[in-house]
Amino acid sequence: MLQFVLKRIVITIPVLLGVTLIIFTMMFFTEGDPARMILGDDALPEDVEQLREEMGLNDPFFEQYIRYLGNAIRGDLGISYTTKVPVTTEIMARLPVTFKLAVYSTLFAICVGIPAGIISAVRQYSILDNVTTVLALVGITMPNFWLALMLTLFFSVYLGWLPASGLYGPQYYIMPVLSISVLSVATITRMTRSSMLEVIRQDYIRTARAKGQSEIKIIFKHALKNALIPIITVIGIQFATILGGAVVNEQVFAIPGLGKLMVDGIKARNYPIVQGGVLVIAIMFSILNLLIDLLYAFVDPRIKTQYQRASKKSKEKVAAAGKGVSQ
Amino acid sequence: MTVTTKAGQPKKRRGQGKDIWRRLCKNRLAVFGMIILAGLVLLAIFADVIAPYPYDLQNYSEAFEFPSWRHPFGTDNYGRDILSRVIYGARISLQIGFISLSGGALMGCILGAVAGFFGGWLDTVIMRFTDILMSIPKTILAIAIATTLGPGLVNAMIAVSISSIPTFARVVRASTLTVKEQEFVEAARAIGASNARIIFRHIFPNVLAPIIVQSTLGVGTSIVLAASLSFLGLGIQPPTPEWGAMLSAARGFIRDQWYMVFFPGLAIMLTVFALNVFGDGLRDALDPKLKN
Repeated sequence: MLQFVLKRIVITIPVLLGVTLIIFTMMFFTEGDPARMILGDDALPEDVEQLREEMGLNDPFFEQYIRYLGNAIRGDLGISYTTKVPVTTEIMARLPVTFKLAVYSTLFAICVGIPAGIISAVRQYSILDNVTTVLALVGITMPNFWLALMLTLFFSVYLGWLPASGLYGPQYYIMPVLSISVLSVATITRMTRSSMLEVIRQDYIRTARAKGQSEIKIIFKHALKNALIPIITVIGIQFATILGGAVVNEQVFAIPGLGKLMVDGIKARNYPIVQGGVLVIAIMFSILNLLIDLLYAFVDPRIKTQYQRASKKSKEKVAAAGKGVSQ
Repeated sequence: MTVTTKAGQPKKRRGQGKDIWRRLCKNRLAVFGMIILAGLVLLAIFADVIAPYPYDLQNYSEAFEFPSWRHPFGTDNYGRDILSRVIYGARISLQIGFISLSGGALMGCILGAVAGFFGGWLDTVIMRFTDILMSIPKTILAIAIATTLGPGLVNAMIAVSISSIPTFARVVRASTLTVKEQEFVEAARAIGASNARIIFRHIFPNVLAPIIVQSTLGVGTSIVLAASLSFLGLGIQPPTPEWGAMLSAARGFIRDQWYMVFFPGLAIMLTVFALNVFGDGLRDALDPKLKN
């Protein structure tokens, strides 16, 4: 198992390096001179040039990238143009807010999506199934920021039950979490339903029924456990949707998270903040993918052995190919 | 033998097409989606004729008018007719959806087919590249690209295109891997067909089904993604009547003018709904085995 974990971590490293290269390339080609941004519009050209030299902005692309990477590894993502505070400090101040929103939304999506999908599959073609299917379809088609606006309209403007903006207590989370997770709830429901339907038709479920196993045990122990792999995959993919949704919806609810920091950064052309935010989100998502892959092995031992077998097989293949050539 | 396959193939393909069409028409929801979609496309094409007012006609004396017979969706802060703007918006949003998706699909298909067909280091490089793109959430990637390129219609389309490349590359690579092992590819190679010919003439037609399904569902995602960019001020700029940009502009008036926020969003939802049910129907029609 340890070997599997280590291998999976080793795969993640080049991907993250690639992410930094892409983000750096974007930053490199973004319009506007960072030195000019820091010094302001009325700075003297000599001063700007001097700062460019100091910041190493006149160096070749790869030299700059290596320096950026070295700094990034040490946690230095540059200086915010507007506040002159290190980007890392600004991001770290806002990250917990977005992280909480993303985690709550994911949990909400799981807690609603999986039970809804199970009920839908177990009672296929019932009224409950039809209602769930229609609601899931609506959820999939609804843009999250529009739902955020509609929820505000209904619960804040019309009913006056929930606060429209800010993040000062539990009730402030209700609308953001609902709007951020709507697509994920719907997707997880659909995936759970179709995955469960597939499993429920298998022979071993019939065997379990014939044995006189209770329906609850059949559903949770025999069916759900085997239907879980595609559901976990979807949850992993949905985390990306949720992070994206959080970035957009923080704007609607004026939530002081990473997304709002980034979008304000875009408006102020404060690019180090934007690129830093993208990097942090990509790292978060990569870590989650890593955890999901490890979870696969935990849920389904076959995957772990397959992984080990695959590496053995590829070694054998190479050996066989070598033999073939020599023959 | 080649002659018989050549003569037999078109006939068989037409038969398949009919079969797919019949199965698609049986699915009522998919037909419903198809009708809405056709309606939206017509609206987009004939917006000049259908829309009651020009999308940019300002009339301050009629600003913030509640929906009425004269202005069924009301008017905005500049007194512009919201219905007309939503109709013209169909043109912009569908255009963005289709063009940016086609761009992403084309790039993704080529990358996926090349990776799957040639294998080896080329496969590794291309797939690691898609891994990297996929490790950045789609919305965030689009935001990052749009920030680099600056706001605007074309840049938003490029941003949306690039973020849809990896999905296509993966789908096409997986299908190519199975198709390339089949005998007709070997036969084509035996008669001396070039790699490019094998990819475009023999492999592409056979991986078309997943591409079509992915595309129909992808147009909806692209429309929402572009709308999100515009909503954040990164995409299409006012006064162009793009649905996301309209929502962004209307946000400030939500307290008293709900209709300014309601209708553009409803239009996005209806479009994505139509594309989704049509895409789902198409998937079931193309591959009846998949249907639950």
